[in-house]
Amino acid sequence: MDRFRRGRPLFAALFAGLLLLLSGCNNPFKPADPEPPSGAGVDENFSSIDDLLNTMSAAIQARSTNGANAYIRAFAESLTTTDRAFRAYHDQDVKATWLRTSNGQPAPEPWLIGNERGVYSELSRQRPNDAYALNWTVYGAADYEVAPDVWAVGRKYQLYAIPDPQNPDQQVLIVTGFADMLLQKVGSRFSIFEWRDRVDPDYGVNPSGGPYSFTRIRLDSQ
Amino acid sequence: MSSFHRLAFLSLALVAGLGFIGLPDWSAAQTSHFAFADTTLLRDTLDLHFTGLFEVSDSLAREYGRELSPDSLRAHVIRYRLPIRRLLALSDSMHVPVDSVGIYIDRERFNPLSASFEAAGQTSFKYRSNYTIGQTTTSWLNGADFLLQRGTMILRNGTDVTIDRTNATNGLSLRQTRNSRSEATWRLSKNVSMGGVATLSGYDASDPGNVGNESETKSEFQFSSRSRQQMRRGVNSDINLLTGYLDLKNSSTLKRGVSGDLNGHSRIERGDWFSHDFTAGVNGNVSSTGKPTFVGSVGTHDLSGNIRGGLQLYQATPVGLNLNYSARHTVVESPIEVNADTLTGIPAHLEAQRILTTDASTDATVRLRVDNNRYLNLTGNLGTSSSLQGQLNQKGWKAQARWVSGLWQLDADGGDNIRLNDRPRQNGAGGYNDRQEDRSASATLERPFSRRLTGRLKGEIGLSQYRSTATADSAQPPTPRDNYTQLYRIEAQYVPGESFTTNVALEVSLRRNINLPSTSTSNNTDTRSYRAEWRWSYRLLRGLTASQVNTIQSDYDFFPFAPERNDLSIDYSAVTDLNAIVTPRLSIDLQHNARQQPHGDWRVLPDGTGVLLPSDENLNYTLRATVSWAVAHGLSLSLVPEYLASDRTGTSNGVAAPTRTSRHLGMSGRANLDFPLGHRGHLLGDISRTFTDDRSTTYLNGLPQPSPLAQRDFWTGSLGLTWDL
Repeated sequence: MDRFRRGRPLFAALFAGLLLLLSGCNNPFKPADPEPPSGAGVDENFSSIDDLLNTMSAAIQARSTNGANAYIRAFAESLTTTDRAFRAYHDQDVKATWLRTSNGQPAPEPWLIGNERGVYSELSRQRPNDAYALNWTVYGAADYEVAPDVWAVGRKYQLYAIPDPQNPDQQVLIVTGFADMLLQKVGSRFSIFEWRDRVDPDYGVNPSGGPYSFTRIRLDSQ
Repeated sequence: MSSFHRLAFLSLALVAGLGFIGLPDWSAAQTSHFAFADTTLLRDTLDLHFTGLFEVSDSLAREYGRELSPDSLRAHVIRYRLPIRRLLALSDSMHVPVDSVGIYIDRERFNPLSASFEAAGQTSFKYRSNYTIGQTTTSWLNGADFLLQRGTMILRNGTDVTIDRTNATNGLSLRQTRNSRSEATWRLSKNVSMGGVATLSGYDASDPGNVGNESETKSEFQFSSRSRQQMRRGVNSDINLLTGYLDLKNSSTLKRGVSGDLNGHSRIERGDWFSHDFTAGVNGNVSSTGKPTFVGSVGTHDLSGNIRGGLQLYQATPVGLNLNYSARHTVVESPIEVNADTLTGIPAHLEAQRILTTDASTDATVRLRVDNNRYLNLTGNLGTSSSLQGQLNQKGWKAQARWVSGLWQLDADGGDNIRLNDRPRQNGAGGYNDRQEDRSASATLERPFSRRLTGRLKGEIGLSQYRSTATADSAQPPTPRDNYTQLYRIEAQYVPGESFTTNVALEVSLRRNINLPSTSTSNNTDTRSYRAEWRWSYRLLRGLTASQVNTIQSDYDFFPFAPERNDLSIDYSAVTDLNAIVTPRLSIDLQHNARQQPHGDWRVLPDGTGVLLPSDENLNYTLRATVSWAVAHGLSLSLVPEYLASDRTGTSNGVAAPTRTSRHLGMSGRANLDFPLGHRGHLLGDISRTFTDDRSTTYLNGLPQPSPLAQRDFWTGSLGLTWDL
C-alpha cells in the first residue's frame, strides 16, 4: 500500500506529461493531404465492361497527362492485402523474340501496374503527330461471370493512327492483338486485374514496322 | 482526423487518467480484465486444470514482450501433461521461456551431462509405423528408435523411412524420404563428454510431369564434444562442438568437404538483481563443390556466425531494465557456370558466387512496476539488415501501461516504428528507397458496475505512412500513401446467473486509404464501419446449452474524389449453436448460420441523407450437426452432416435477377482409435469417409446455365502402431 502511494504521483505525473505532449504537439496521427486527381478532360466511366473499354479508348486518344491517368485507372490497383492487383501475361513467342534482341534486359512477368505506367507514353511515341483511335471487338464467347463479380472478357484490340483527321479513312494500324482479360467489379466500378495477351496471327510475332501486340509495346516501354 | 474526433480521443484518455488518480478503495477491487474472456476454453477433459490461464498468459506475454496466447499455453500444458504451476516452476529453474520447457526437457533427456542421467543403465527399442490415406495421397512411415546406456556410455539411433504416393491427373508421383541419426557418447568426466554422430539422409522422387527423377543423398560423420563449466556460484557456461566430413549429392549440387559447428552459452547471475545470458555460435564448411552437369569443381566456404544475449537488471524491483541484442553474419558460396571466353582462351569453368547476409538488432525495455496491475513499460528498438534485396534499417519505440484503481482498469499502449529500405535495381525490380512509419495508440477502460454488469470502452488510432524515392531511371516505385485507422468500441456484459450470459457491443471505425499523387487519388477511399453485436448463452437444461451471436455491420465506402463511386455493404449474420451432452459418452452439436449481404451504390441526397441503390445481394445458410459417441475406452465415432445454400442476385436495368445459386450436401463419418496393445504396444489412428454433392447454377442474361452435379466420395485416415521391445 505504501509502495503504491509512493508510486502513484510518479505515474500521475507521467500520464499528465504524456497528455501535455499529445495536446501540445502536432497531431502525430494526421495523414498527409492528397493531391486532387488530374483526370479531368477524359470522361471516365467504369460502371460497365464496355464503359471501361471505351474509357480506355478515350484515354489513349486523348494523348495527355489526363489521358495517362485515366488509362492507368482502368487497371486494378491493390491498396490493401485483400485487393486484387493487376497482372499481365505476355505472348510467349513475342517475349522470346524480344528477349533475343534485348541485350540482357529482362522481361518482367507477370507485368504489374507499376510496369504498366510507362505503356501509355510508349503508345503515344509510336506516331507522335497522328491522332489515335482504339477499337475493341468481341471475339469468342460472350462476357461471362466466372465467379461472383469476376468476368471473363475476350477482345481483339486495334489501335489506328490517323495522320490526316480530315481523311479518317486513311488510317494506319499500329497495334493489334487479342486480350483474354479478367475484370472485377468492386462496388459499381469495373477494373482489369488480369490480361493475357496474344499476338494477332494475321501479322505474326515480329512484323517489320508493325503493327505490334501489347506485349511488344509493354516490353519496349521499360 | 477532425478536431471533434481528436478531442474525443484525448478526452477518453483524460477521463481515464482522472479516474485512476482520484478514485479511492483500489485495494478492494478485483480485476475485471478477463471478464470478457471465452470461458469455454476452460472445459477440460484431461484432469488438467487451467485456473489462472488467462492471467498467466497475459503476464508472460508482457514478460517476454511477445504474444503468448492462452490457447498456446493450454496446448503446452496438455502436451507435456504439466500443470501451469509446475510449468512456471520449471521455466524459472531452467531459465527458459515457458513455451520452450518441453523442448528443453526432450533435449536434456539424452544429454550425458545432465543431472537426470540414469546411473543404472537403460535399454529400449521402439518401432513405429504409421499409414495415412488421403483423397489423392497415401503416406507410410516406418521408424525405429534404439537406446542403449551402460555406465557413462550412451548409444542411440533414430531411423525413419517415409513413402509418399500422390495420384494426380498426369500419373502417380512417388517420394521416398530416409533419415537416420546415430550417436555414441561417453562421459569422460562430470563436465566433459565426447563421441561421434553419423547423420544419413536422402530422398528419391519421381514425378510424371518431370523429365528426370530427383534424388539426394547426404552423409555427415562428425566428432562431438560437450563440456560444461561452473566457474563460480552464479556463473556457468557450456560449449558444444561438432566437426567432421560432409558429402552431399543431388540433382543440382555435388559437395564434399569438412563441416563444423561450435556453439556455447553462458549465464551470469548475481542475486535477484542481475542476470545475463549470452549465446554464440559459428558453423560452416570448407568444401569442393560441383554440378552434376559439369566436369570439375570449385572450392566453396560457407560460414555463419551469430551472437544473442539478454541482460536483466532489477527484475523484482519497481524499476527494472531488460536488454536484448543479437547479430548474425552469413556467407554462402554456390557454384555458377561461366562460359568459355574465346578471346582469352579461358575454357568454361565454375566460379563460386558469394551471398552475404548480415543483420543485427537490439531492444531495451525500462519497466516501472508497482504490481501486476500497475505498471509502465517503455521499449526502444534498433535494427539493421542487409541482403541481396537491399539494406533495411529500422528503429522504434513503444509504451505499454496498465493501471487498476478501485473498480476502474485502464490498459493503454502506443508506439512508433520506422523502416528505411534501400532496394537496388536488379532483374527489372527495385531501384528505389522507401520509408514506412507506423504509429499506433490504443486504450481500453473497463469497470464492473455491479456483480452482474461489466462495461468496457476501447479506442484505437493508427497511421501508416509509406514514401518512396526512385534511385534508378527505369524504376517504378510503389505509390506513396497513408493508411489511417480509428476505432471506438463500447461493450457491456450482463451475467444475471450461472445459466445465462449476454453481451452487447457497438463498434464504430474509420479506415482511410490515401494515395498522395494525383494519378492515384481517384481511388482513395474512406470506409466508415458501424458494427453492432449481441451474444447470449443460455443453459436450458443440465447438459443442454444454446448460444447465439447476432451481428449487423454496415461498411460505407466513400471515394472523396469520385463520389459517384460511393457504395454501401451491409452484413446481417446470426449464428445459433445448440450443444447437448445427452450422456457422458454422447454429445450433439447443432449449428445454424444465416447471413445476408446486400450491397450497392450509396448516393448522398441534397438534404444530407443517403439512399442505397441495391446492385447485388448474397444469401447464405449453413446447417451443420456434429454427433460424437465415445463407444468405449479408446474408441469414438463421429458423424457430421451439413447443408449449405448460397443464392446471389444482381440488379440489371433496375430489375433484380438471380446470378448464381449453389447447394452443397455433405456427410462425413469418422472413427478414432487410441488404445494400448498389451504392455508394450499402442495403436492410434482414425479413419473417415466423406460424401459430398455440389451443384451450382449461373444465370446468363437471366437464363439458367446449370453445371453438372459434382459428387465426391473418398476415404481418409491414419493408423499408427508403436511397439516397445
